[in-house]
Amino acid sequence: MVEFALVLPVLVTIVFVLVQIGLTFNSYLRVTDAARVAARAAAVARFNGQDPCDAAQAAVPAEFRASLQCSFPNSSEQPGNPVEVTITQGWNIDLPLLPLSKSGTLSSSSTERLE
Amino acid sequence: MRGVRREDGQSLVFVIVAMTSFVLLMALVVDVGLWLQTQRKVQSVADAAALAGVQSLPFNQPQADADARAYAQLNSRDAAIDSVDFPSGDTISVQASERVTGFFSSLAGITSVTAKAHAAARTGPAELLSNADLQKAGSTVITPLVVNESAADCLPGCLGIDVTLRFDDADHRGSELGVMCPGGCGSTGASRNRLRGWINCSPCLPGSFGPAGGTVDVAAAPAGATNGGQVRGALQRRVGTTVILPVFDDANSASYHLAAFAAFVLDDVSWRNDSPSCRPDCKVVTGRFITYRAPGALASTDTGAPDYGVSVVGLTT
Repeated sequence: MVEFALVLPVLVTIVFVLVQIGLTFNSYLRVTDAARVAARAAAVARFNGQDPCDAAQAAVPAEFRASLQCSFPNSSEQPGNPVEVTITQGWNIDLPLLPLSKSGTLSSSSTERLE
Repeated sequence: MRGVRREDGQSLVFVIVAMTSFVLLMALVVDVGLWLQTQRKVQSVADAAALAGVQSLPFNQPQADADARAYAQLNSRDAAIDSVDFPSGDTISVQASERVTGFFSSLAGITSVTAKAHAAARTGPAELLSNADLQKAGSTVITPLVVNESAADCLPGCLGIDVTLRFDDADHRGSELGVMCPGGCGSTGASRNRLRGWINCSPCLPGSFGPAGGTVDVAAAPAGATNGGQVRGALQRRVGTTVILPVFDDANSASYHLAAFAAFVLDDVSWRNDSPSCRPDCKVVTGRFITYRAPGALASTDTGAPDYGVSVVGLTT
């Protein structure tokens, strides 16, 4: 039992790391999907009489709106030109009881052709 | 103390089993997470490429191919386009892939995995249009002008090239151009003023048109309604702008049967009062057919309807 008590914190820490890595990948998937959805909304915004970047903002969950960047690589909002949407979100892995933490940013871009 | 075994090392066995399980779980979480993330990204690349390429169909396949590859490149430097195919004249199919290197799977001898994605997009003719929807998307609207299917059949060869469309009041069916008047027009000043208003979009021509639930049989404007300065002046103010022309596939002196849509840039208008001496050149417009991406949903199945340049696009897989 003594050995197990010694090893238990290590095992628990590994479990926490596993869970947090899983959550981070889930966030990355959500950021990637949000960028794709926003770019698609921007590409067809004209049909609803909307500004492409406003449509991109409206298409994503509220948590991504502050970091959403929308640009026109050809400096034109006319149909046939690209619109690029980038969404950035922070990630953070904290280990309980240990002074170890790691953080960074997840970023995903999507470029679609304005219809 | 026979029968009582020592407990030394019991935790060692448990820890070895637990650690092995955790390392395998870690491999699953990290590597599979990475593969899933890459797969979603590659799917996004393929979708964007197909939707960019389909916009040049059905008239320009080489351009569609080039656009698909260009947008794949814009979306990812790592993903590769394996193939761009055209299963039919109005459909583009894109295969994309990216190699993903795992952290833990390489220990098991799996150095990399290829994430693949497929996307197909189709273009189809717009089958239902209304000025209410078109106005949201810009200033291009339907005016009372209609074009004969036989004249629009010059597409795609005449795309962007000046063509002349004549309206002969004495031969609606044989004319390249026509003037419709939903609800019916007479030879009165009120009818001419109504046509002038519709041409200038003040107010725009009401209602929806097209075979998918809109008006398909529409009254033709008689000569008396299109003579005079109102229609001529209104058309001259349209010079330089794009209008949507419903395409008719049958007509008589009283009505047109609408089947599709074309987009036309008016370059010149020569509009005189109808008279036997000037027929069939009394009323002539010159301009270019262009392509126009219209609002609306793509029909769930390919109806095989002719595409005269006004189309909608969408992903099919």
